Amino acid sequence: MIRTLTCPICQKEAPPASEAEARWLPFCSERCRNVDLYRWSEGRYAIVEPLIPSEDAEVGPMDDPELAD
Amino acid sequence: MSTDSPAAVPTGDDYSEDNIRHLEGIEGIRMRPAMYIGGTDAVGLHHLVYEVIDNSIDEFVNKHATTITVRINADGSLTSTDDGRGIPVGPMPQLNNRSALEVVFTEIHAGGKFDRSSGYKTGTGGLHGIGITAVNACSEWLEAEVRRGGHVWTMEFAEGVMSSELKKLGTTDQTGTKISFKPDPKIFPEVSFNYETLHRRLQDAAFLNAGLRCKITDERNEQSDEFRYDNGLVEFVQYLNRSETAVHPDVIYVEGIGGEHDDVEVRVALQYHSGYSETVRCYGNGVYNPDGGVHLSGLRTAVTRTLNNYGKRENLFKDFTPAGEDFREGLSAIVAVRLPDPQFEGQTKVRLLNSEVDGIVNSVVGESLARYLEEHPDTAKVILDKAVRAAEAREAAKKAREMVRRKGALTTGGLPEKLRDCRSRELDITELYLVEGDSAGGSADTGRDSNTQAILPLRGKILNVEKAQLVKVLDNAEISNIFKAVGIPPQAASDDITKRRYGRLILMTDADVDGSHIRTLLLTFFFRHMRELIKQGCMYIAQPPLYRVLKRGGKGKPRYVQTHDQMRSELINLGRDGRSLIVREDGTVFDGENFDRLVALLAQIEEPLQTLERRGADLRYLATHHLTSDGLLPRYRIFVGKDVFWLNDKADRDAFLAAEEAKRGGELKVADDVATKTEGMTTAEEAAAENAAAESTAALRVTDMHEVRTINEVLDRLRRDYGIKISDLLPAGNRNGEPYYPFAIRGDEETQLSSLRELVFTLSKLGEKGLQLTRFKGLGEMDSDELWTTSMDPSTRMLLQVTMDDAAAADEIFRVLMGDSVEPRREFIEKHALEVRDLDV
Repeated sequence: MIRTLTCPICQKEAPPASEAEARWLPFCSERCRNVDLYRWSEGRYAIVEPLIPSEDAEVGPMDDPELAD
Repeated sequence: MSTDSPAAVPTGDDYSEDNIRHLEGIEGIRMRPAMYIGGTDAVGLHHLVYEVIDNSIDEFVNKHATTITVRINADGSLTSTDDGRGIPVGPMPQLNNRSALEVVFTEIHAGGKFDRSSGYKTGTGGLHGIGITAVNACSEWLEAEVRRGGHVWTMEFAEGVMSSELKKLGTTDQTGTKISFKPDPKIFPEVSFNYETLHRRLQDAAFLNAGLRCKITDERNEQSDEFRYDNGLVEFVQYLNRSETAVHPDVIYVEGIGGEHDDVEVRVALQYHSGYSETVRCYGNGVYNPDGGVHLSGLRTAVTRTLNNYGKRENLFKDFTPAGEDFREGLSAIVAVRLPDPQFEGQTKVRLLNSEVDGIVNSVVGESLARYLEEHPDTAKVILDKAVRAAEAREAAKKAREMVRRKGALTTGGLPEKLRDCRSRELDITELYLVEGDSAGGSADTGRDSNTQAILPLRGKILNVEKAQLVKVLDNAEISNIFKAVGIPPQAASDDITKRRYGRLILMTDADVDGSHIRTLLLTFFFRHMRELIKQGCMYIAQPPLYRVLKRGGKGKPRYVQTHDQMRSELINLGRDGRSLIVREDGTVFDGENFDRLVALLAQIEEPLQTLERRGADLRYLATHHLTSDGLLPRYRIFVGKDVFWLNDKADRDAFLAAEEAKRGGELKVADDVATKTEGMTTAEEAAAENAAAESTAALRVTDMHEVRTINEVLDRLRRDYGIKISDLLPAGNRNGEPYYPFAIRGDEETQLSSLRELVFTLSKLGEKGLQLTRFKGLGEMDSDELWTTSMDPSTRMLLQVTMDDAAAADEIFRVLMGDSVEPRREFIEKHALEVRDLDV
């Protein structure tokens, strides 16, 4: 997985310049941190996935209905 | 100082009313310079220069000059030169026939700008006759040199009074005015000019007056610069944004005229950048107005009103409605107006006051900007998105302030109702279990050690949006419950974590895909907002089992299996135990270690084969028609129009494409597809590419079958180690009208196989005989004893400690999986759909 040091909110690629700024990690600033916290507390974050047929996610003998129970 | 001139310093003999007035003017300025030039500090000092060059700029604006040169001389004086018409020098009969040049430099309210017929068609920035007189009055000496009417003229002044009368120096074919002066140290405590200050001023002038050439030289240290900007304000905005990232490529430029006599000219250039600061520079008649004024307010009103109207009409304000300040974030703009009679606040023109300008700028900008937005919807969209984000940030900041004001509303005011606290308060031994689901929370509550273990049930809401997506969110109350239970405020500094209420935090979610999503959400949340907890190793993940295994009939103690893969290999192992494989044809027997390795290879190939088949490739067809000379599968599929070609490797593919290219005599349009159509994952871009491709004849579509790499590796080993060919993986079909089974598993009994592909599956089926498997759909399906034994009893449970790397990885996954619950980021997710599936397994 590619690891990037970008702010989750504004995607800025700024490594913290000072200890004071590092306080907001992984955000670039208090502003972005506030926005993120706000989104969490408003329930605005969601994991979205397309409905893929389940055999895509699970492959193997256990998916045989006879074997499930 | 010359005394033979009639207009020199007055003596008692020719003392007259005229002289009194004259003295009052110059002396008045020298006594109260602040009234005329704003002060005697560095600002006032440089203001002298501005007065001089503003006159030259007026000559440019009225198309009489092309170049302004400013030179700071080695002795601390300054010389400003233009190639305008030159100040008139002739005698003025109404003023004792004094030279117009002398009058301009010594009389208040004298100057060419009062007389429109003299050539100043538009408004100017000069000071209505005070400016250049004030410069003269505040100078130890001043020398004017005028080129005009074929001659070079010169006149000198000392402390504002003519010291050397008009002299003809010689002939010239040029025109222009050159003024040299040295500020009077009796007036200014500090008389040294600052290069940077003047540099900025001249550069502004060059930006504001497209085409004007400005040169500045400092003889004291050999610095010099030259400016000329043919795109004027547009280049100015680009310059302001030089260290920013613009959010739209083009600078928006609008201009127009307004006012009762159509004599107010408005020019505005603007561009948004990705930062948050607002930079608007305002100019009235070419003079910088640091405090803004009516042109600034007119611009702001117009920008707010126009963007607001557009956003509302295009329905871009779904979650947040931006206010005026939100439209100003990241705005870089220049507003320049020119009008006949500018009214400024203060002699230094900090603010433009003409009230009618507000409405004129507003309507000129409003109209043109609205049209621009209509014609550039993409630009409009990014600007409005930015404003919406600004509104959200404002809302978020407000909320954050409220939380601080209510002294940690999230952390105090009691513990969450749902929390089942533990009795001990010792960080060394206490644990908080964050449990997915209320019912599992109930089982955990019953099963726990209530001295050291606290339980906080969390609810993950699952929504089904547009039939196509599952959306999982953390119920909004849960976030505040987490803060309250953990006891750390949202803005916690790193040392606050010693105040946490429990030593360890343990996430316990279902062992399925949903559970892994909830876990990703939680880890991301902790990574972002309670980072220190993870850094200091306080965060753990419980490992609840996915399967319970009992001997058939429910006899004996149950065993628990953590993952799907573990269960699968366990069953295969059981099935393989004491069995071997027989090849009918020649009676070969695979047993022992040989058999084990064969089973492992076949288990490895099964999933990639299924992927290949999902992509619509038929294994039998490929095996029959497209096998490579080594008996392997081809790697690339290429559609040319409706024809399909299979190519073995990259080299073949490139050769094929090159041949096609040559055949068609042009570069090919290749639509690479990553996700496949059969899975219904065509993204918007791919669809667009497809459409575009469909237009050109016989478009190409190249698919790299990545899974073939694994398949071929295994096929190669099967062939070399066991002599097994791909045909052995295909059902044998009938022989002599009877089903034919080329292989068999031999143990206590014999099981027939029509292909080797059935081997693994059949073994796991055999392994399951005599066992009773239960797959837990969720934590809630375990009773409290089971939950205690498998996931909570410190002596038997398995805990994974979360590292910063784990959490950072969760954050990454989250970013991929994340969607706005209001407007799911569909294309993005679909593009990553294949990866998502990998993550879930």
